[in-house]
Parts: sequence; structure tokens; C-alpha cells
Amino acid sequence: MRKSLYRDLTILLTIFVGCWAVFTFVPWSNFFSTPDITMSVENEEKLGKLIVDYSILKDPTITIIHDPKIDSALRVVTHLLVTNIGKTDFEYNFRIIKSDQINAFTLPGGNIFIYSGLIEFCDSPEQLCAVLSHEIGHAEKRHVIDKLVKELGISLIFSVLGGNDNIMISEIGRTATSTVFDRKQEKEADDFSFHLMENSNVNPKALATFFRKLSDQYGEYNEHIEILMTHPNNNSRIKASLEYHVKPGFAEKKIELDWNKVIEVLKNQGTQQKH
Amino acid sequence: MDTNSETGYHPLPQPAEIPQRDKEDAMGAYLMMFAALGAGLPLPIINLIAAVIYYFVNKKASRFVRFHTHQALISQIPTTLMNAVAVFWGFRIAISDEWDFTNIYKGYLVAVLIANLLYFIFGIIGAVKAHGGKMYYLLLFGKISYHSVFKIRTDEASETDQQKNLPPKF
Repeated sequence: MRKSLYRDLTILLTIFVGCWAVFTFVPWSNFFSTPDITMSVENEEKLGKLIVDYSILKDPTITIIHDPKIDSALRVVTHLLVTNIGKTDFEYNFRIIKSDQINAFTLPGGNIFIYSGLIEFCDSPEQLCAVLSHEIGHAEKRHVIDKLVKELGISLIFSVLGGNDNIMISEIGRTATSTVFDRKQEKEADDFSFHLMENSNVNPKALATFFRKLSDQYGEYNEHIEILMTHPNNNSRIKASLEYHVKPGFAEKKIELDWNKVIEVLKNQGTQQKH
Repeated sequence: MDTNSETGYHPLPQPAEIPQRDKEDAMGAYLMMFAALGAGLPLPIINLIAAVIYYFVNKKASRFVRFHTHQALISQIPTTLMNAVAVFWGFRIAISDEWDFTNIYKGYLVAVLIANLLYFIFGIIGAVKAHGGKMYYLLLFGKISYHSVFKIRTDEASETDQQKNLPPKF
């Protein structure tokens, strides 16, 4: 009796564990993933330019900051990063939007927008570097175009590339700027930013200090910093940043900028003109 | 009493001997738990509670009914536990950064889905057999239930001996 029960139990367990093991090694992504994005880099850049032109620059509620001193300071940081990306398909454009929000977003084609509130919030150029690296990560991994294709469909996006449908372009722009990336994409962008900062001789822990400051000041979640804090729990992102092991021989270099001066100019810059 | 002390088990009732009411009660054990399973989703525990209640309600019923209610009850314990683990695991993935939607979890979900489907199919077969007045033994659980319900317990055997009319001792 007992022997017979053990035999039956072994059969049932073997069937269950066998099924589990077999289905664990099934390449699920082949069945469920959507087809790869078929949009070329050229078309993405074209779409990015249309969105920037129609959805950002022509929006009367958005003010782009143009100040030689601030642009120069921003260029120090962005040049450092862009020259260390390695092989890239995009020609990056960084613009500052006048706003108190602590936010930044990426549009197709390597167009990255930073809110002035975010720059003022950063304690150092290294922290800004960390945020920009993260946004570059979204661009390099093509997360934005991926989301747009998934949400709107490739045919709709192709249909606006002619540039005649301003309303539709504005709509796509709205979708692009309000896009919330999923956790996997955020992690990919974080991982990319660690490598990029390391290659740029910036300490990857700067991302941790930035997120920690955010958490300290605004708690775990705040609607004003939604895009940066896609997931309420930032602890794992802080942890990943702190635990990132730089390669041997890594020599941290401080970015030579008078950061207090930059913030002061940003706060006091009076003539904000569009474009 | 219908005992068979040679095998150590009560003899099995045959379809013709079983009242229609018993057949329906036995079938109800399987059908009731499917209904409760649907009601219990996504927290797969109500079906188990319902099965326990049904089992105790029928505790005084015939051995045929008790066998099927016992089998229906214990056979759903593993799938209930598997479903509970799947729900708990999925919940952790949804709320925690540390837990990812891994292939191990996907494999587990499919294995649990198969287990539930098999359980559903064998449960239907069990219900049909019970309605026909037949015994139906699920792998492992059938033997446990048969042993639990039909085994002649020592107290039952001695009671039987006491009730027997015996010839005078010479």
C-alpha cells in the first residue's frame, strides 16, 4: 500500500516538475513578442524633428531657455557624454524647458528635453550627467519609438512622416512626452547610464545620490517627478547604482563647472525667449 | 455489517445496490467544487473550504458517497496550493522590484494551467462515474480515499464480532 502510494506520488511530482522545467526553457519571447520595430533611424529622426517642431516649439505654453552661459555649461556635460557613447545612430539635441518640474524626457531621434527645475535640483553636474545618461539610454535602446509603435501602430506613425497632418503630429507628440516606460526599460536605461558614466569617468553612484535626494525630499512617489520615478520603489535603482562595479583603473574626474554659478544664472536668467 | 475481514476492507458497493440519491450526492462532490473554484478566483481557497464543508455534511452518508467526497476534497489540495503559489508569486512580481516576470514563473504558470486542466477533466470523469454508481480512482488520491473510507478499523471489527450471533461454546 505504502509503496504504491509513493510510486503514484513520484509519478505526479515527476509530471508536474517535468512540465515546469520544459515550459521554463520554452523561448516565450518568440511567441509573444511583437515584431521588431521596422522604423529606420532616418524615419525616427524625421519623426523626432516633426514632434519637436509642432508639439514643443510651437506650443505657446512651453518656453525653451536660450542663454549662452547655461547652454555652454550644458554643453560641457552633454559633450562629455555624447563623445563617450561610442557608436551611435543619433545626433543628439539637448534643450532646456523653463519649468519648476523636476523632469526630463526623450523624444524620437535623440531629442532630449530637460526641465530647468531638474537642473536646479541637481547638487552637482555629475547628478545632471547621471539623469542625462539615463535619458540617452532610453534613446539608444529606442524605447520611445518602441512605445509609440506599440501604442499607436506603425502605420499611423508612417502616415504622419509626410509632415502635413499637424494635429496628428501633435497627438503623437503628446503621447511621446507622456510615455511611461515599463520597469524593464527603466532598468535597461539605468544600466546603460552606469556604463556611459563609467566611460565618461563620472562616478555611476551619482544616479544613486540623485534618486536618494528625490526620495528624501519628495518621498517615494510624487506626481511632479513621475517620469523619472516610473515605479514608486526607487530603492532597487539606488541599490543598483551603489553596487555597480566600475572596471579596474577607473579614474573619477570631477566635471569642471562652477555649479553654483550655473544654478544662479539659471534662476536669474530673465530673458527667456522661445526657440 | 458488510465487512470482509479477509482483505481488511469493506466490500465495494455495486452500481445496482447504490440508491440514486447517493449517486447524485457523490457526483455533487465534483461538480460543487468546480462551481466553488470559479467563485474563489482569483483567491483559490473558497473551493477548498466548500469541499471541506461538503465532506463533513456527508460524513454520515454511505461509504460510496464518502469515498467520492473524500477523493474530491483531497485531490484539489495540490492544485489549490499550486494556484495559491501562482497568485502570491504574481502579486510579488507586480509589487516588488526584486521579483521579475521570469521564464521560471512563466513555466510554472503553464504547468499549473495544465494541472488545473487535467484536474478539471478527471473531475468531470469522476462526476460521470459517480453518477453511474461506479468507483473511480484518481492516481494517488483514489487509493488514499479508498483506504480511508473502506478500510476496516480495529474498533469496527471488534464491534462486528460483538454483534455476531455465535454458537454456544462446548
